[in-house]
Amino acid sequence: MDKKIIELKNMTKVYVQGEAELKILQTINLDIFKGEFVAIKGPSGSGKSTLLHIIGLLDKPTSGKYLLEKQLIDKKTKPNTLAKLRLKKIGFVFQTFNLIPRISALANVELPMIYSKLENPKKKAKQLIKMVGLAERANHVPNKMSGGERQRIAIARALANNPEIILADEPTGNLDSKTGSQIINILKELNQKGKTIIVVTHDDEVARVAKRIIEIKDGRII
Amino acid sequence: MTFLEAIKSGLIAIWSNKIRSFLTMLGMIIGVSSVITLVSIGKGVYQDVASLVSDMGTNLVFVVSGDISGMTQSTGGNYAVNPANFIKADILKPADLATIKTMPEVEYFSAMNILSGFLSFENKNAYPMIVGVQPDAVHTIQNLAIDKGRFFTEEDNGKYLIVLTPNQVEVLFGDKKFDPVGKKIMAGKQEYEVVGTVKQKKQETNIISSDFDNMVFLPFETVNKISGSTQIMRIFIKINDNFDIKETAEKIKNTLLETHTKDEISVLTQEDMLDMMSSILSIMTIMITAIASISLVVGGVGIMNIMLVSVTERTREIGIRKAIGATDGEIMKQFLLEAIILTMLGGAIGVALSYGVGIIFEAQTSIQAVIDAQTILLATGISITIGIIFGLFPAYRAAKKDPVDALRYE
Repeated sequence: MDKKIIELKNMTKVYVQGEAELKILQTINLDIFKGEFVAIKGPSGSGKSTLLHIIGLLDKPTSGKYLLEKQLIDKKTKPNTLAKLRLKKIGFVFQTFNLIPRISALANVELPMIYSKLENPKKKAKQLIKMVGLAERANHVPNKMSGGERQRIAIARALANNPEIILADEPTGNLDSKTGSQIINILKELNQKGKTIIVVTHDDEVARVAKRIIEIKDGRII
Repeated sequence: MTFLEAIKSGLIAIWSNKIRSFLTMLGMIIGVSSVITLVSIGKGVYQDVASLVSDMGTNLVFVVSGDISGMTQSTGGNYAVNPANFIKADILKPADLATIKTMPEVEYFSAMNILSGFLSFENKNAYPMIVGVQPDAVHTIQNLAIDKGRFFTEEDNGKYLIVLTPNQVEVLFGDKKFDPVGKKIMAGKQEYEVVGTVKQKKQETNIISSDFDNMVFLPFETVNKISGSTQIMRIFIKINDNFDIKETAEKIKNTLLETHTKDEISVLTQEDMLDMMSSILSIMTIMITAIASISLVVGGVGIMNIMLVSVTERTREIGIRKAIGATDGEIMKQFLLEAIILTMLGGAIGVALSYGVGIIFEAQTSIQAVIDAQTILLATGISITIGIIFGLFPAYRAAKKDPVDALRYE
């Protein structure tokens, strides 16, 4: 349990807007171990989403180092390298679910496996959807589903390529408390099966489930 | 993502915006169908002309006034032509006929003159092309085969006799099958006796030969008498089978050039006529196709426009795809394929449309528009090329979107 999966060293993120420099994240030092369940809390604008985007390889640090399973990621890392790492190692769950509306739940779950050229993605996608308890809804389009159902499909999609890390950005933010708890329980189960889970949240219930809470304010960990 | 998956994804995207996709394709549909229709009609006309020329018979040589050799490909495309010589009718003279007559290679020949005028029988009028020919014309003009009565003999020269085509029989006597031999018809104040009719020509498809329906024949000298000149417009010659047609045509030309200048006469074989026709047709086809291509460019710009709209609309989808691990290349491939599918669908509908136009064209003109494998390949090539050219920029824009910004897009 003490294998470092994520290491951030003196990492900063600065956005340049015209003349002004916006320091979103300042000297972040953070280690996350394999199998941890970490909650990142903080007021809006504190930089917690940007931190999650950098951990999730959607964004790159301005300076400092990020080691993902010992692989160095800095501002020079190529977009293609990031895309391939995202595909294999990271699963995203978003507040607004972010399913593609035109295609069925099943096709949404298949998509990451199609990108990774996995064999028989349909079979695997069906298993994942069954696992989140929506087997009979697999062929519906996301618009015909409730928020809770959509989020469960999103979790199934996040698990598609069997990644080490699940990143969730306010996963219960758009759900009522009952369905929210169901989602938290699914995340908890996944953690028990060995997945490293990092959740950005306002929700105290989510924070309670987490084994570690990281608080961010004005771009710094406090 | 496999190619097949990408095509499926593109089809779903197009299908979910049916009306918009169709309207976008309209430019492609019109462009491809106009190009394909023109190319296929061009091919049809060429085939028609080719069959006409071969139907004329074999071993024929034509002497005409004016130098039109510049229009045939065989002379290397020298287009310096003096058009005034085409309409000069006094170049070929009876002396030329005498020269041709002495050549051993010449089996039959007939001079030809053309007048216009009108004929009447009782209260019916006809306005045919009046063609003066010599008796041997039956051997040198393929469609000229006698049905009823007889053709002219040497003794008929200068007499007021006439041979009618079935269409003119119908105009003057009310029925194609009527036997008018012996009837007297009027041309101006002169009375002509009908001595024969020619057979209905066996095929009706040739546009060039449609003139034939409009002809009546008079003895050559009779036409000269009416017009008061000794002019010769054309000479039709049939070469004896034992001689090479090209060599003989060359020999006739050289013989005639002893008394004529180079730009006064042309000696053409059937092959030359076909060459001439094909070069005129190909120039016309290229020009009209170039004009039709403008609509392809307009269609392409329409595709680009709608793809840019689609990329913007689907910014969030692009963000999602990138978040779950799609590379820039995958996104690029997806949108480029979508554009190509759009243009290819448009192209396919365009080909179907020109097939329909071809059927209508055939019904109207009896010329079969030719849509062959080569034409289909052309349409496919055009569609893919337009799709790539005009799909590239929108696809590049899609691929280069920043994933974080794209995910935030509302």
